[in-house]
Amino acid sequence: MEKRGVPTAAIITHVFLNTAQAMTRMMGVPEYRYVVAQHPLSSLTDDEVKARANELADEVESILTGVPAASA
Amino acid sequence: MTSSAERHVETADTIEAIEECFRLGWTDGLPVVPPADYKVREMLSVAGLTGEEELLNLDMRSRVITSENAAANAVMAGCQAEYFPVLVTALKTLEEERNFVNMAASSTSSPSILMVLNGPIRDALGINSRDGLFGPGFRANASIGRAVRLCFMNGFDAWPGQLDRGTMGTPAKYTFCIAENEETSPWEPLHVSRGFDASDSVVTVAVAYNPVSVPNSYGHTGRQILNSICDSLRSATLVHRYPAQWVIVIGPEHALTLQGDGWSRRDIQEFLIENSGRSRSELIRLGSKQGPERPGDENVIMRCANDPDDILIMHGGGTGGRYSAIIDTTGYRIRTRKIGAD
Repeated sequence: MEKRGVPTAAIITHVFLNTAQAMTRMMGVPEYRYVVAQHPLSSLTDDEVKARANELADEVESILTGVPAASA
Repeated sequence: MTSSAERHVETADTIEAIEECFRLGWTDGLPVVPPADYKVREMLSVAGLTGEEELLNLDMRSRVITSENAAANAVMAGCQAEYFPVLVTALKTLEEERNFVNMAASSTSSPSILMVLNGPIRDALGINSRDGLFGPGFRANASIGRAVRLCFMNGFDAWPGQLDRGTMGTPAKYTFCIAENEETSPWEPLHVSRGFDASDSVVTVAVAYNPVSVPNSYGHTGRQILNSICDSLRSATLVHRYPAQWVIVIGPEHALTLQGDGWSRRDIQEFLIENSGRSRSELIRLGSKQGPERPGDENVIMRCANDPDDILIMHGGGTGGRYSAIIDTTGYRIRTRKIGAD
């Protein structure tokens, strides 16, 4: 998506950190930024998902806009 | 994976070369045949390839598997040169649907690549379609499937816990290559049912979970056997997605009973769809489907497949026991391709 000019914020969970690092190294962009959420996500309730999204929103915005997040 | 293929290593003897392959991280955990240059060239020559051709390009990992890479992995897997065109065709099929690779080389759900061979190539290469269908004992079955996995591991870095995040893994990742027993099948061969000529040598490729054996030892009718298969197709813990595509392997003794009762391929496909449904609300309550449950969900019936052609019926396995097998193929559309055709 980034290569196509679409600002993108990828979100992974922390257990996939080593996989994400391997992928970005392979793609030649080891400094590529992404949001790391606490695992797991799929078993959360709707309210828990919303709370988690709120926690991550500033960092997602920061990645999309390139402006450092105030709370990050 | 060109970096590893271009490495040339001298060793004192063959045993030392095998150990060197372990040290280089080129194996699936079992010893490999060292990919000596002349063996790689022999593979390429049988398939009429130069070594330069790009067979499978995985943008997501910035990697390309060339024909030379594939040949080296085929040698390491223990393939005879005559098997190589099957691997080449399978890799070209994966190139058409790269989600097969993404799934089989990374998904937490741990699928593998299933290959089913039809046509004269089965006898030419000695690909087993009978006793111990999914098990060991046959060089072609063992090494062709293994070559695909070695391509993923060496070519796309699909190592467990790193880029391959399969949670439970599966023995089907060592190899998952079978043939259909066309000779004793009551139905036309699988590839003919998918539009090919009986005389074509064809490979059907799917991204698939491990085969699940379906016993029915005491049923006297075809309907009882099919109900056993439906019981497995309905299992929320065996089925990953509703609806999906399936490969159903009907064992010889079950096939005789079904034939005796006059069941056609189409009858079987329709019966399995009709009798494998489960309500959406039940699946949500089990945690197999994402909620929340909505009014009316108890009347929404999720089926194993929507279209009869999404259930591939084939014949295989040994005599002596009354077993069939079901294979969940994840929802990505199964592909069938003539071997050697571009």
